[in-house]
Amino acid sequence: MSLFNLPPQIPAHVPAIQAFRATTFKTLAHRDEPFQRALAARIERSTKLFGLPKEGSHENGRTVFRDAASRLHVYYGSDSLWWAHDKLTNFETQADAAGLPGEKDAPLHAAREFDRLSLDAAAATLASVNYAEFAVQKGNEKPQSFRTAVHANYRFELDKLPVFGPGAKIKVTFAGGAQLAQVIYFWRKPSSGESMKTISPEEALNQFQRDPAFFRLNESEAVIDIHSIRLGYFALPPAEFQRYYIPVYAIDATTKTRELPRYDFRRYVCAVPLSNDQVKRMDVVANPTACRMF
Amino acid sequence: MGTIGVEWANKFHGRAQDLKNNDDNAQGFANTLQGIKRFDWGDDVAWDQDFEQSGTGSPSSGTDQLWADSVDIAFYSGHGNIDGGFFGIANLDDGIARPSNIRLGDQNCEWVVFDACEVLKDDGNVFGRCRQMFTGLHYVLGFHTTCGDSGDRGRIFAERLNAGDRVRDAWIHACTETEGSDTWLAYMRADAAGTDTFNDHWWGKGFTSTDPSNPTIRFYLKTSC
Repeated sequence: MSLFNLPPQIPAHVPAIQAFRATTFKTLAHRDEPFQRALAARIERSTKLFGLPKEGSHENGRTVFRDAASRLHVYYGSDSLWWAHDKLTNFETQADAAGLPGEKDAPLHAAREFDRLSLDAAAATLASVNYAEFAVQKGNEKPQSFRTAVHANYRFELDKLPVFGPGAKIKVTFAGGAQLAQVIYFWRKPSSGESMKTISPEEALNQFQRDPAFFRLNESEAVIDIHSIRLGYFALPPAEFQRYYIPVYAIDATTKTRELPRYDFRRYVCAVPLSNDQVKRMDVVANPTACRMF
Repeated sequence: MGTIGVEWANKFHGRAQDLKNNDDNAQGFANTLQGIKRFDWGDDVAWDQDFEQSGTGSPSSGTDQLWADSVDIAFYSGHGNIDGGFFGIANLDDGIARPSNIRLGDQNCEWVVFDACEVLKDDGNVFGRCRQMFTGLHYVLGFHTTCGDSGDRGRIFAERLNAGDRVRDAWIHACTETEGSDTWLAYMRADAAGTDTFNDHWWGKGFTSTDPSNPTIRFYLKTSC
């Protein structure tokens, strides 16, 4: 009896994948003039677009610009920004949700903001529209819940493959009626690199099944249902410096044990057959923890 | 200066699959947040009873007065589900820090974080499940859905607290920077007459509310990351 139930469909092996650089810069150093010039230009453009003062505070991989009503994070490690209206974003309010844009209208409003803010969303597609929800319980009364904001969520693709991870998404939020409340733009402008050989999905599944995370599971008491395996790229969090989008297989699975009946998770297996040594020499990733399986 | 306690589990001895990054996550939080680190218990010495009230539940072996309720902020990183924070061993208590057994704030704790799946899942009874946790506690921070095995979230949360963000904003920020939009974060907070936990900051970084020792109102927020 096996611990693993393989996915119902395994995609055909795509023997090569296009590599995409995630930055044109070699470092984020103060003495790296091209980087510093580009960062200054991004800051100039972003603060002007959102009408914020040009003096910001340097806070852990980003500069934060604030005024009385809003704040803007401009990240160093990627081409990302996060603007949020302090009073509207994730605010606790019992306002009537009727004024919020609906699921069809929110993406239309978001598209107008892309144009107004000159955000490059060419590689992004709408992933979902959902609502922030706030609930309140006074004493022992029945709780009341309210929709407080609507999010239009976008994901990115490269060469028609999905980009996974927290560093590749756009979220445009409207609240207080249809007022713009938040723009999250996490992305690294890609540039094409060489083509790289890939491992097969079957090999990726083999690597996955050899993950030490499963070693202590007893076959008689546990099962791991593998739902899907997809080829794509991985983007690190926006404050991280990343040289290449990492080619990965994203494996979605559920582990069931007697004591924890359901654990849904996603594991990424590096899709290119490089040793750690080669990864470092080729400068493929900047973060060694993301070399093999994560 | 505020006090900090963290617990984490990567090894689950077959109770669940092992995880990889909870040591980095919890220790990144404790080592980054400006304050006094009081404890850092991992794997087999991280216990659910450290978050539970003495005399509650069955077994009733809670020792929160020594651990989670002895610090200003307590942070658990590991597995979880709607039953609570899920720990690596179950031979001392039942291995789950259950909201029904948790009473925090009657000693010290203002904020507790369960960086784990679904502890704050809105199943229609999230208030019923979690309301008794607040005996002076200001916030429970966690997730409505499953979440990733992040090694960075604790550090980012601490960085934002150090930068002077409100506690709620810092958690929202850390989750949004480490998760895709399929993941939903959540928090619950409590208030009483004269308190204002909405505007809570980490100690020394701005306003911090007095304790809602006898809460009259509770708030819950969930939003996609």
